[in-house]
Amino acid sequence: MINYIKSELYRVFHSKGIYIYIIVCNLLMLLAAVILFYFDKIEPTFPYGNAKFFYVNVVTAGLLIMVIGASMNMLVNSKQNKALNKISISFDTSVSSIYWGKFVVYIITFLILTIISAIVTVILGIAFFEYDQTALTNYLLSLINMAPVVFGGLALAHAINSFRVNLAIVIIIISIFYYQSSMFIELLTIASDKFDVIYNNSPTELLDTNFKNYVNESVELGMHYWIIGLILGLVFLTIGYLFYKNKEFTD
Amino acid sequence: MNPVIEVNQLSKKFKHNYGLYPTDFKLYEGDICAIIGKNGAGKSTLFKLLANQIHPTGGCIKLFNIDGNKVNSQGRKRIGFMIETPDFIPNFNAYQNLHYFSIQRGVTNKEKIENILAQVGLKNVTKKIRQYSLGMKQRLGIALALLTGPDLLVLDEPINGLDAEGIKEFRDLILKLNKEQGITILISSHILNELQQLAYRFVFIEDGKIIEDISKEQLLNKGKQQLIVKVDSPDDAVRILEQNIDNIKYKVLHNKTIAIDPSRVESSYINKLLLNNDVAVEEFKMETTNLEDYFLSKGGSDND
Repeated sequence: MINYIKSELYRVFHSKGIYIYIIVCNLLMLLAAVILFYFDKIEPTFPYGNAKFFYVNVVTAGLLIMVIGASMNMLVNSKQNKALNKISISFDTSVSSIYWGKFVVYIITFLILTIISAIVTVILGIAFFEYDQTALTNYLLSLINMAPVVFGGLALAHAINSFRVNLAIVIIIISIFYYQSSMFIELLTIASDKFDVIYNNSPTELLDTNFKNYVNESVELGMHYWIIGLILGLVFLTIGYLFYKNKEFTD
Repeated sequence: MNPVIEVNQLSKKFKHNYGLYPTDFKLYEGDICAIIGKNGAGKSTLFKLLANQIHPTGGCIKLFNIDGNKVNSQGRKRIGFMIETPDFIPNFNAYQNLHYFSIQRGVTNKEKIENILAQVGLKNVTKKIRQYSLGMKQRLGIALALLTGPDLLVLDEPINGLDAEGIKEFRDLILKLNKEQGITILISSHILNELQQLAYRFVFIEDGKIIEDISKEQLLNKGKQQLIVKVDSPDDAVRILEQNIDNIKYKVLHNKTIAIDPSRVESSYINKLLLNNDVAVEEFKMETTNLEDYFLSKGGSDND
C-alpha cells in the first residue's frame, strides 16, 4: 500500500488540481478580508470589520468545507483516475490498497489545503484587522473541533465516490446527512427524550454548538467531536470498503 | 517445459450469459500463443480474468506452476499485461506515466524507463498523453507491459492502431523478447496474418468456449488449396456453379470474391463455365489457406 500511496502522491502533486484548490480557496479568503476591510474603512458604523467576524466565515462554513472536500475527492476518484485502477490491479495492487491508499492520499491533500488555508486566514486576520488574541484562540480551537466532523464527511464522500456516482449526488447525500438529518432527529426528540443524546451529538448540532461557542468566545476542545467524527468516518469507510472489495474493474 | 499459465475449469458468468464457459488451458514457458476469436468470443474475458480485473465464477488459475491465491499474486508480478488500450494519465507524458506505475511496483529506475521507451520508439516524445494517437498509446501500453521485466506478456489487441511500420517494429520486438529473453507471450489480435507470423500456437475461441487448439505445424498441414475467383456478379456465378457442378464446395468472401474447393472439379472447367455464361472473371488464382482463411472457414469474422 505504501508504494501505491507514493505513486498517487506523485500523480496528485504533479497535476494542477491541488494547486488550483489551494489558490482558489485562499483567494476567496483574501477577497472576504478585503471586502470587510474596505467596508470598515468607508462605513464608520460597519460592525463586521474585525478579526472575529472574519474568522467566523470559516467557523460557520462546516458544510461548505465538506462540500469543497467532497469535490476534492475527484483528485483521487475522478473517472480518469478510476480507469487507472485496472492497470494497478493487473500490476497486483490489491483492491484494499487502492481503496485505503486513495483515502490516505485524499486526506493528506485535504490536510495540506486546510493547513495552508488556516495559516493564510490567521495572517489575513492579523494583517487586515486589529489584533484580537481571544478571537484568534477561539478560531484555532474551533478549527480543531471541526476537523473530526469534517473528516466524517470526507470519509462519506470517499466511500460513495469510489463507485460510479456523480459528484452532485455525493454532495447532496453529504448535505442530507450532515444538515437535514438533524431536523429528522429533532422530530424524534419530540416523541421521546431518549433521542436528545443523539440529537445533541449529531454532526449538525456539533458544528452548530462549536459556532455558538465561538460567537460567545467560550470554545473548548471537546473529545466528543473527535469520538463522533471518527466513529462516523470509520463506519462510512468500512461500509464503502465492504462493497468496494468485490468490485470488478471492467470500465 | 513448465506451464506458466494453467487454467482449470475457469469460467465467468456475467448477468445473463457466460463470457467464458468452464475452460481448461495451458500455456508453456517460451511459447507464443495466439488467442483468436470474434469480438465478444471471450478473449478479453480470459485476459481480464488472468489480470484479476474480474473475478471468476468458477475454476482456478495457476501461475508459474505454483498453486494458491497468494502465490498467484506473486505470479502476477512476473506478468506484463496490456489489456485493450490502457488508460493513462492524460496530463502526463510517457515518462511520467511509466514513472507513476514504476513507483507502484516499487522499482523506480530512470535509465530502465528510458530504455523501454526507446524500445517502443517513444523516448524523445515529450507530448502529453492527451495529444497521443491511438498507435502511440498502444506503444506506451506495450512499454508499460515491459516495465518490470516480465517473464510472461499478456497482450490483448496490442497492434490495434499501429501503422505498417509500427506493426513490423512490434513483431520484431516480440520475436526478439521471445528468442533472446525467453519471454512467453499470450496475444490476441484481429490482424490474423500478423499473428501467423508471430505465434507458434493458435487457440480458437467462440461463444466463450475454446473450440480448437493447434500448433503452427498443424495449421500448415490443415492448409489446403483453394481457387479464388473474383467476378462481377457473385450471385450469378454461384447459381451457375451450383447448377452445373454437383456437391460443389465454396464460400462467398468479401469484395465479390468466391473461394472454391478445387478437389471436385478442374479449375479450367470453372473458368470456362463462368465465361460461357457471361460472368466476367476479374481474378482467377490458386491459393493455400492461411490463418485468416482458416478462421473464416470456421465461421469467424475478423472485423465484426
